[in-house]
Amino acid sequence: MAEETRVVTRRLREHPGDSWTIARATDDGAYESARKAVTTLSPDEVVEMVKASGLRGRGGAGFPTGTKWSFVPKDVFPKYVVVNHDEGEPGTFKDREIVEGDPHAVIDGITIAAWANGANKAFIYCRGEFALGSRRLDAAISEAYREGFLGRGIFGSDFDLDIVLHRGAGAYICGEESALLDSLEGFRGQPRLRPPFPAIKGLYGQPTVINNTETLATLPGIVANGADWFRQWGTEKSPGTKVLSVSGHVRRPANYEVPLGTSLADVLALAGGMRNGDLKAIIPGGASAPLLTSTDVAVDFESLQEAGSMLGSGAVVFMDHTTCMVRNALVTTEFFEHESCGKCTPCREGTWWAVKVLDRIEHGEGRREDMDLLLDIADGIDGRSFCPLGDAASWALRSNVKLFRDEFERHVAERRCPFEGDHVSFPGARERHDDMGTAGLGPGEAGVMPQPAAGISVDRSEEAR
Amino acid sequence: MSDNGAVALTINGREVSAEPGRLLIDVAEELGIFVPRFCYHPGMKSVAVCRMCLVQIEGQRKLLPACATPVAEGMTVNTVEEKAVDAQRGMLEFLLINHPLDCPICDRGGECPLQDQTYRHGPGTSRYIEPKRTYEKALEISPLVVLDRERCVLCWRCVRFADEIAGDQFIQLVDRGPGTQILTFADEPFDSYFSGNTIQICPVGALTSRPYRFVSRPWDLKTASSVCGYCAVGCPLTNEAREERLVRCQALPNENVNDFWICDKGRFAYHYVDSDDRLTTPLVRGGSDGFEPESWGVALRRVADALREAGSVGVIAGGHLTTEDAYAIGRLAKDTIGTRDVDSRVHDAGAPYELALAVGGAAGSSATLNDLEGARSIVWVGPDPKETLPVLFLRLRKAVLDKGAKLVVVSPRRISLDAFATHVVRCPAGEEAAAVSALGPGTRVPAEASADLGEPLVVCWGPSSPGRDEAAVAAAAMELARARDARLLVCPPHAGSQGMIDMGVHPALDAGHALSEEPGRDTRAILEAAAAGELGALVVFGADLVGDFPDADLARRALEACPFTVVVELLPTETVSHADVVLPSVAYAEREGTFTNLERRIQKLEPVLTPPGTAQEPWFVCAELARLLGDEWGWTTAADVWTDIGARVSTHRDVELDALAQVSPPTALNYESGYELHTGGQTVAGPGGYYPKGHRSGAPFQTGQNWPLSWELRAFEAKQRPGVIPPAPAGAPEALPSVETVPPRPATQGEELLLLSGRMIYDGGHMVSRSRALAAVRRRPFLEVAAADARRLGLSDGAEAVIASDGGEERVPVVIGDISPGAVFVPYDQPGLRANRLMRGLDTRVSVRPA
Amino acid sequence: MTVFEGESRRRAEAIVARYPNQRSAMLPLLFLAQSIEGYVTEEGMREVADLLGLTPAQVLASASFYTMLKKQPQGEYVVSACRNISCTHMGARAVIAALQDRLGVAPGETTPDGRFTFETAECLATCDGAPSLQINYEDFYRLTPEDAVALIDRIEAGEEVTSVRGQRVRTHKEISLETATVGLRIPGDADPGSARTIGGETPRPDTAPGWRPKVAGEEGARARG
Ligand SMILES: Cc1cc2nc3c(=O)[nH]c(=O)nc-3n(C[C@H](O)[C@H](O)[C@H](O)COP(=O)(O)O)c2cc1C
Ligand code: SF4
Ligand code: FES
Repeated sequence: MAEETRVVTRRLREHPGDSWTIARATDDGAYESARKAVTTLSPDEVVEMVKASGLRGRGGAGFPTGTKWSFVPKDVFPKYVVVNHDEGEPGTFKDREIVEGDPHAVIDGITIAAWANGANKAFIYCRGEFALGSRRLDAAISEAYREGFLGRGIFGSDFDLDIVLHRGAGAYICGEESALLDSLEGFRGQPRLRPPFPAIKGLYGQPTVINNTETLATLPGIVANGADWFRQWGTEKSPGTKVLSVSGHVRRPANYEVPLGTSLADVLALAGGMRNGDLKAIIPGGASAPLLTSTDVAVDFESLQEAGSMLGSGAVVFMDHTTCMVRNALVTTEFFEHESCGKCTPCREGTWWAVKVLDRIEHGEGRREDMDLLLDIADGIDGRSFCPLGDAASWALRSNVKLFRDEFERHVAERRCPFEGDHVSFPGARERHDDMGTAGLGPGEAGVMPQPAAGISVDRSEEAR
Repeated sequence: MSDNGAVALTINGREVSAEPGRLLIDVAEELGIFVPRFCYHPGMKSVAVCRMCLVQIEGQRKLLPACATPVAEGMTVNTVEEKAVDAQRGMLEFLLINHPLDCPICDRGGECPLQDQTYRHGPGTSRYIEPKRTYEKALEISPLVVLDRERCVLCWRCVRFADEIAGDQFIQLVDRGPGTQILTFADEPFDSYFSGNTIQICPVGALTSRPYRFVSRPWDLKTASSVCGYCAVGCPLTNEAREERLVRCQALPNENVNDFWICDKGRFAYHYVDSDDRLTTPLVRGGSDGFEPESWGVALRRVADALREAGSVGVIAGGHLTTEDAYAIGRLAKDTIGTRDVDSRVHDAGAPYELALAVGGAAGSSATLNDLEGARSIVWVGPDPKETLPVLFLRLRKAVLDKGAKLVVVSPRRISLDAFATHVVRCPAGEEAAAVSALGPGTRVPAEASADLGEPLVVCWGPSSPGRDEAAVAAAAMELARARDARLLVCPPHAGSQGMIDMGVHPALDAGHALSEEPGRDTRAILEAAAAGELGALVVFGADLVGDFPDADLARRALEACPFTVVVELLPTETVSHADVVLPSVAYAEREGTFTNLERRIQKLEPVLTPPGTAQEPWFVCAELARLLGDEWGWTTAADVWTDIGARVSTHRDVELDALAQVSPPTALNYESGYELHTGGQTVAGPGGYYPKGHRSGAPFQTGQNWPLSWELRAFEAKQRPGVIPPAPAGAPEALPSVETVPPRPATQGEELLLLSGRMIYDGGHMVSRSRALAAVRRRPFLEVAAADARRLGLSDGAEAVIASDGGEERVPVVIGDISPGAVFVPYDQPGLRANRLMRGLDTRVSVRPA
Repeated sequence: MTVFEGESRRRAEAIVARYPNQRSAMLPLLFLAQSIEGYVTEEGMREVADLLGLTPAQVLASASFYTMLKKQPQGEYVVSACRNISCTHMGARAVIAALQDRLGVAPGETTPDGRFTFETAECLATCDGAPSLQINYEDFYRLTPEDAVALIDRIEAGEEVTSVRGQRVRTHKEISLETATVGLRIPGDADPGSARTIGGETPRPDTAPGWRPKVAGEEGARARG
C-alpha cells in the first residue's frame, strides 16, 4: 500500500489539533530556518541553496524558484515579496490546507524569500473566499510580530520585514502573477504585457518576487537541511515532494504529499482507489491540464508533459463511467468563460462561443459539424491569447473533444445527454475518509471543538486510533 | 548590429534596417506591409489586447503581436504565410461573432477599420449561429459622444486615450470576460475637452459623434486638409463638407504639433462657417442709420476716399487671419497708408512679445513643441493651457508623465497643470514676476523648485489674463530663459497671432521681427486716441473690439468717436454695428493660405468650401485698397502673396510653399500587404478600388481622399506635413528691449480685489458660440474667490455675488477655489458675463459683495 | 461622507495608510463599503473614489471585475454552491436544484424576505468535500440535496451553524467587514477582527531610494497593459 512522504504537510498532519498556533509551530521548529537564514546566511547563499535544491514553483508554471530569484536586480529598492495564495485552479485545495494548518511555515518561507531578495515588505494575496485561511494567517502574523519574527530588526538582526495581508475579491485570473499585481495595485485584475517581468518591474514598478504558498512553505525544509536533503526525493528535473489535491470519484479525496515521480496509479491507491473500481478519465494538473485516460504515468513536470498534459498546480481529478464528458467539457469551459478577464479577443470570444456550442450538444441540439467547430475554436485560442488562461481553456476543450469524440457524437445522434440522471449519485459523499480530508481543522479560532457540519456525519473514530 | 546602431531584419523576405526598440508593426508599415490591427495606435502605448497583429517570427513557438514586439537583429518576420493569415482570419471571425453587422445604419460604414480589415484579412463567412450579445443601443455618454456597446471590439483605444493622453478617466472598462464593456459611471458624462478624439480612433462605430450622426456617408464627403483656426497651437485637421456645408472636422496627425489629437473646440466648433448670418456682401452705412448693400467697387472706393482724407489712421487686426493677410495688412498700413499705429493684439492687448527678441532672436518662440518632450525641466507662466491652448496641455502632460520632465508652474490660481506639476508656486497676484525671478540661478526660493530646473530647460510664457499688465512677468520669464540659456516657448492666444507678429502687424516690430526706433501706438493707445477724437479713421480686420478688447467701454467710445470705421468681418459683431463700411470676409474652411503657430511653424490651409456671396480674402481687400490708394501689388492668388513675402521678409526668404503642401505617400505604400498574396495575387479590395464612388478613389493615403484606410495607417501621416519653422532673424538685440508699462488706474472706493480673467475653451466668442454641438457643454459664468476672502466678504460657495467696478456690475455664482487671496477670477466671456465690461485700463480692481 | 463616517471613516483611512500606494486600498475599501451598505452602492463607489483621488468610473471599473463585490442588495446569508468539475461530478447539480426549490430563487437572486442570496460559484478549493458549498464563505462538505436543504432550515430557524472547519457562520455584512479589515491594526480599534496592536508596519521601505510616488489623480496615466 502506497505511502505518503510528508514534508510540507508533516506538521499539520502530526498536530491536527493546533498545528497553526505559534506555540506548537515553534516547538516543532518553525522559524528556525528563517532565523538561520537571516542571522547566519548571506542573501546570495540562500539564493544559491534554493537554486541547488532545484525547487520548481508549485503554483502551476513550475519555474525554478532560485533562477527566478536570481533575476532580481540587487541595487534597486524597495523590493517586494508577494505570496500567491489565490488558489483558484479547479481541483486544487492544497494551498488552502497548508495555510489553514500551518500558516507559520508560510511566514517562515516568506521571511527566507524576503531576506534572500532584499525585500522589507511582503504582501500575501489571499483568495477572498478563504475566510478561515485569512483568520489563521492574520493570527499567525500577529503572533510572529509579538515574537519579534516580524517587524523591525527581526531575530535581533537589523533586517526589517513587514507583511500585509491582502484579500482578493473573487477572480481566478488574479492568480496569474501579473494580474495579481494589477489587482493588488487597485486596478482590474488583468494580466500585464511582459517583458518587463515582475522580478524586474513588478509591484508599483519595483522588483518583485512572486511565489506560490506551497513553494514558500517548502523553503524552510531546504534552508534547514540543505539542497541534497531536498533532492533525495523526486527526479533530476523535478526534485522534492509535491502536495497533490486528489478529488473526484475516489474513495478518499484529500491532499496527499508524495515525491515527484510517483505514478498516478500509486496516487490513486493512496486515495483509496476509484469508488466503483472503474476509471474513465483523469485531470492530472487542474482544469487547465489536458485529460489522460491511464494511470500509467509518473507525476512530475517532465513525464506529464511527455504524456501530453501537465502537472500544473497538482490537482488530480479522477472520473469514472458516470461522468458525461460533454458536461465535463461544458463545466470546464464555462469556468474559463466566467473567469476570462475579457482583455484579449480569443479568450473572451472563443470561450463564449465554445460554451454556446457545448451547451447545445449537452441539451441534444448538437450538429454533426460541431465537434470540428469546437476543435477550430480551440485552435483559434491556443497560442494566440494574451495570457495562459486562454491557452488552458483551449487545451481542456480540445482534449475532451479529441479523447471522447464518440461520446460527443452520441449526444448529437441521440439528441440528448445519454447520462441524464445517471451522474447524480452520492457514494462519494458518504465515504468515511481518513484524517487528511479535514486535517488542520481542529478547534476553530473560538476554541470550540469542530461541530460536524450540517447533515454531515464525519466518522472521526479513525483519528483516535 | 550595424555601427549606426540600427538592426537588420527581414519582413516577408524584404530586408530592412531599423533603430532598435522600434515596433515591428511600424517598421513593417514603412515597408508598405500593413499588419492588421485594432488596439494598436501609434499615439498610445501598446497593450496588445486585440491579438489581430499576430505575426510569425522564425524561431518563436508562438505568433507574436507586432504591436508589442520590438525589432531585433536578424529577426525573420512573416505576416503573410499560413500561420499568420490563419490567426488573422480566426481573430476576425471571433471579433465578428458578437458584432451586430449593422453597417447600413452605422456612421462608420465605408470608413470602418473593421469593415476594411474584414474585407482584406477576414473569413468570407461566419459559422456562428448562436444569438449575439446585446446591449442597450446608442447611449449618449456626453452631449458630443454616443456609445453603442454592441459594435465595440474592446480595443481599449478610447479608455487608453482618456487615461493616458487626456487624463479624463470618465470612460472605463466595466465587468469582465465576454461581458466586458466600455461605460461611464452612472450619470457622470464623458466630460473631456478631448472626447472627440475617441470617436476618431474608434476602429468601429461604437463611438459616434452626435453632431455628425447620420449626416453623411464618407464617400459623399469632400475633404480638404487645413489647420484649426482657433488657438495658437495650430493643429492640422480636415474640413469635410457635404453639399457645400461643413459637416465634420477631424484631426490630422503631425508628430511635431498635435501628435494625433485635436480638442473638441477644433472638432465641433465649425458651425459659424455656414451660419445663416454670415456677412455676404459689402455694407455701407446709408443715410438713415441702417446699412445698404453695395458693390465691392463702391464700398472700396468709399473706404479709399475716407483713408485719403483721414489725417491719422489706426489699423487693428484680430488673431484669426492667415500669415498672408497679416503681411498684406502690415504692408497696407505701414507702406501704403503710412501709419505705424497698427497692432494685432486685442484680447492680448499690450502683451510684450518683442521681449523675446533678446532670447531666441525672434519675437516669439525659440523652442518647438517637441522640445518640451526632450526637456529635463519646464517652467510655465501663463494662462491655463487646457482652456486656451488645449493641445499644448496634452503635449505638456505627455512631457511630464511620459517623458519625465519636471514641471514648475507659477500661477496665482490653480490651473489644470497643477494636477501633475512637480512644483506649484502659488504666488499672490501681482507678484508673479518676483516668483519667476526667484527661480533663477543662485536663488534659493522656492528651494526645491529652482533646484529641479535641470537642463535642457524650456520656459513657457503667455499672457495670462486679459487686461493685466504683463510686462514685468514677461520680462522676468525672458530673463530667466536668458540666464539659463533655456529655450523659450511664447504662447500668444490665436491661430493667426504669431503670423501677425512675424509680418509686422505691430507698432514696434516690422515684418521679419525688425525692431523700429519710433514705435507707433498699440491697440490701447489707438483706441484712446480714437476716443479722444484724435483719429481720422479706424481700419479693423477680423476683430471684435467691443467683445474682445479688455475694456469694452473704451472700445465702444473709440468706435463711436471715430469719424470713419471700416470693418472686415465674417459675422455681425457689435464692432460691425459701429462701422461705416463693412466688408465680408472668408472663413478658414474657405481659404488657401497659411497659419503660423506658437512655435512659429507655418502650415498650409486648403479650401473645401466656396465663400458665401461675394466674401473676399482680407489680403485681397488690402491689395485692392492699396491699388485704389495708388500702390499696385499685383496679387491674384495666395501664392502671389507668398512669393512677395519670400522676396520682402528676410526670415521667410527660403520658405517654400510646396514644402508645406501635402507630401505624397512613400512609394512603398502601394499596399503590398498580406491580402493580395494569400489570395493568390488578386487585389479585390486594394486601396485603389476601395471606395466605390466619386472623388474618394485613388491613392488612399492622401489626406482628404480615401481617408478611412489611412485611419489605420496614421504612423506615416504623422510625418507627412511637418510644416516649416523659418529661421530667427540675424543680429538680435543683446538686452531686452524696454517696454514702458502703463500705470494702473487707481482703485476707487471699495475696490480691493485684483480682477483676473481668462478664456474658457467654449466661450461666448462670435465663432465658438455658434456651435450647436458645444452649447450643451459650455460652462456657466462663475466668480472664483479664495476661501479667506469669501469668509471676509460673506460669500458662500454656489451663492450669487455681485462683482462691481466703475465699469459696471455683474451677478455671478461664487466658486470658492484655490486662488491666492486678494484676487478673484471670472471667465472672460461666458454667456451672461463679459469680463471686459468690468475692465478699465490695466489691472482692474473690483469689489465683491453677496447678492 | 455618508457611507464612511465615524469609526468606518477611521478604518477607511487606516486601510489607505497600509499601502505604499493608496490605490491598493481599492478592494478593502469596497469591502468596507459593502459591509456598511450591504452591497457596493453608487454612493459607496463615489466615496471610495474621493478617498483614493480617482474618478467614480475608475472605481466602477475595478469593482465590477470581482464576484465578491456585489452589485445588488444581498441576503443576510449568501449561499454559494460550487458548480465546478469535482462538485458537478459528485452531484452538485442535484444540490443546486434542491437549494433552488427550497429557496424559491434562481442563482444570483435573493429571497423576498432578504434572508438568503443563492448563487453558484466556481471551484471553492473544497473539492475534497465535493459536493460542497459556502455560506458567507464558510465551508460545508459532502452535501446530499437533503443536507443542503436541512442546512438552510437550521439557519432559517435561527440556529447558529458552524462550518466543517468549526467556524461560526457570520452574516454577509460581518464577513464583508472582516474581509475589509483583517490584518488591519488600528490602536484601540474596537473591532475584534483588528483589535491587536502589534509590531506596526515599518514605513521605511517605501521611502527607500528609487521610490517615487505617483501624482494623485494621475494614476490612470501610468503605463498600463
Ligand atoms: C490563469 C492562471 C491562474 C493562475 N493561478 C494561480 C494560483 O491560483 N496560485 C498560484 O500560486 N499560481 C497561479 N498561477 C501561476 C502564477 O502565474 C505564477 O506562476 C506563480 O504564482 C509563481 O509562483 P511559483 O513560481 O512559486 O509557482 C496562475 C497562472 C495562470 C496563467
Ligand atoms: S487570455 Fe486574454 S482574456 Fe483571457 S484571461 Fe488572459 S488576457 Fe484575459
Ligand atoms: S494586439 Fe497588436 S494591434 Fe491589437
